[in-house]
Amino acid sequence: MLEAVELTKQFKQTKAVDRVNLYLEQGEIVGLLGPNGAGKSTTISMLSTLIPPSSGDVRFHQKSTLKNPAMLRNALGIVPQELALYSDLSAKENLRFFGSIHRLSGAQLQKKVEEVLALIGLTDRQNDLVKHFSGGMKRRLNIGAALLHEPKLLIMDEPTVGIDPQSRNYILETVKRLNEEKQMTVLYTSHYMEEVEFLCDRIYIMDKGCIIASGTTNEIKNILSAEHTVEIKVEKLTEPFLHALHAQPVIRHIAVQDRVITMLSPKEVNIFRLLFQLAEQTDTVLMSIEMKTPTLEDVFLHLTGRALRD
Amino acid sequence: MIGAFVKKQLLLLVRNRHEVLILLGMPLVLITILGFALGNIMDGDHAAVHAKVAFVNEGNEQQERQTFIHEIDTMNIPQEKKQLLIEAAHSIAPITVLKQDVFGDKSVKKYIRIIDVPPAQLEKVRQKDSYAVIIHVPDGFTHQMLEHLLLQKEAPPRIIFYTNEEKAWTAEMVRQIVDDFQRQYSIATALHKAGITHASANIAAHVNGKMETMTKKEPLRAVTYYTVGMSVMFALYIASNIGSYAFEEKRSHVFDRMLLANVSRWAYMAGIFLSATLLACLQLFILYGLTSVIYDITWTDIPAFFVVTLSLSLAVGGLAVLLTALNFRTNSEQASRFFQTVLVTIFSLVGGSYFPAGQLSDFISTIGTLTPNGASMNAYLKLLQGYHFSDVAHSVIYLCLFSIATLLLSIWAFPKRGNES
Repeated sequence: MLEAVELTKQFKQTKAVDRVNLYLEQGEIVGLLGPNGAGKSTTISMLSTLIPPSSGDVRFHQKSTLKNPAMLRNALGIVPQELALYSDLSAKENLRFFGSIHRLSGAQLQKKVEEVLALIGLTDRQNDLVKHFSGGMKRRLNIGAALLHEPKLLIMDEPTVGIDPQSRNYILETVKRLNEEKQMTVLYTSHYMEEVEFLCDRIYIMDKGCIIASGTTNEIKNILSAEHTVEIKVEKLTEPFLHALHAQPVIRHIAVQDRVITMLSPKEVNIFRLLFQLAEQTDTVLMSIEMKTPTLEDVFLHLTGRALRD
Repeated sequence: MIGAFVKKQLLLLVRNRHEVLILLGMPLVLITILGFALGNIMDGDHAAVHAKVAFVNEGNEQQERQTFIHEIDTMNIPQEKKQLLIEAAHSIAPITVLKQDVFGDKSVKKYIRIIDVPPAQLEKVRQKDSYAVIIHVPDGFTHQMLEHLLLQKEAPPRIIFYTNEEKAWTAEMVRQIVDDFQRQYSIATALHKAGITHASANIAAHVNGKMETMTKKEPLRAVTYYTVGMSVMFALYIASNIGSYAFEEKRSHVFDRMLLANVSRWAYMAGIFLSATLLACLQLFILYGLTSVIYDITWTDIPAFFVVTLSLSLAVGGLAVLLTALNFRTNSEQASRFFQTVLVTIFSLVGGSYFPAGQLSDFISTIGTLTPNGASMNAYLKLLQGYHFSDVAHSVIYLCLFSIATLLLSIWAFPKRGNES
């Protein structure tokens, strides 16, 4: 349905997006995962025809959109990371305006506005000014504004940033419903692993402008099939113990938070014995050792050496 | 769709109390303050300008007339024509008319005090700062005037002015009065040259009558002047406000939604233009409506008033689109801010919103009429003084052309893809 081919964007000296290739099939939810500054928003802007790529192409149903973006735009709903709303208008007035620019009018516009208000759970607050809404309600309206013209493809750029868990769940459920009931194709960007795990059929992981991994959730987690995530808690964190950990070639990606140390180690290594030895040598008291199934966060750590929220 | 743009813009502005206060409340306050604070200077009922004007007459009107009559008498022309010219010469007394009928008029005397100064003291008086103007009538003025008018000899004589730059306001007023006086003599000369001897024979009565009309014209009250001055000035703020709103749409990515809805830049610019035009119209109608009730400012030629208001609003609409285009091009709100803080102030100053720009210089006055507020202010003030629409049509045409020019500039300045900077 939508395909990015060798998509590149150069801003003066900075290459924000570097030869990105990705595709979306009809009816799937695809996640685009990466830390802040990874190039997700720039990629999305190019995919949605808002900015032209420096090189590469965006194809919609095999046709390039660079010269003629209208067909893609008609089928596209976009939920920007920013609240693209008029805060001095009510929810209903906002939706009516955005419906009007999609050439909806009269009874058809009225019906769509009511439908969308019900979908995003704002029917009761439709006449309230947006500036009086909570963050979660604004985010829901931000999504609603992209749905008025019944898009076939929805691109969502971090739609849950800075909201409460309840609103976040509501949004995730709404995206799931749109996909299941209306077969809407969704490209969902986030730096929340759990959202992407919950929603997406396939995932692209982006860092420093490049796609560094792609596949289904399981395929990506299998990148770490040969490694354990080990989390240990110590009574008191000491420099000799940390030095000793870093000196072990079988232990990688050590992250420390308070008295908790997280690391990756190969499955064939007996990590328990090694940890006890190091603790004894450095007079460190181990409080607990936990072996974990790798998460996408661990995969990202494995691939980039950094946590997603760094 | 453009209707939706206009409705949205109206709702946004109406709900922004701060903006409403600036666009409607502020001009009303300023009209009241300036209208009453400067009322004593500008109002005809309260003459606070008491200018001293020195009158230096080197000639002797009576003697020069007698010399002229004697010359006629000795000329070799038919007796009947001789008699007619002598009768006409008796009725022409330009200096007497100027001093007694023009400067002696009750309404002029409220402002100007004429002091006769002997010719010998001319140089001494010129060194002093106490006089606003020195009117110097050269020797033989009356004789030359009679020869010019009745015998078609030489160019018309001129009265010499020495103006005090520190009292430009009064100097300008006196100069206008005397210029008009001299113009009437020129008209009479033209009639005379066309062979209407009777008209030239009654020049004094003619000039006298015309002068009375000029000087007795009801001056505009200060509150009326500032109603127009402040209204046209604050109408300009609509343009910068709309430009700022438009940039906010870009900043918050609302404009992206419009691009993705395949809204063309033409439709977007048309929406901006119509919104600004409509808002400026509304603002002006509200301000003029309220001031007509509160300060009893009467618009006699309502259709002409509507046309001038519409043409100013179109100019504001054009400016709004231009500022939007520049904001989008520079990817900042700088164009709107610069216009709001710097250009509106300059436009108001040279356009005459604070005081008549003619007081500063002719050049500034001319520049002032090229600003949308100056051009519309000229037209409004003339309508309030009872002029006809034909007298202000050039201002209306200018405002419409200004609007077209700004729209053309906007088309050039607006980024092709809208979201590029």
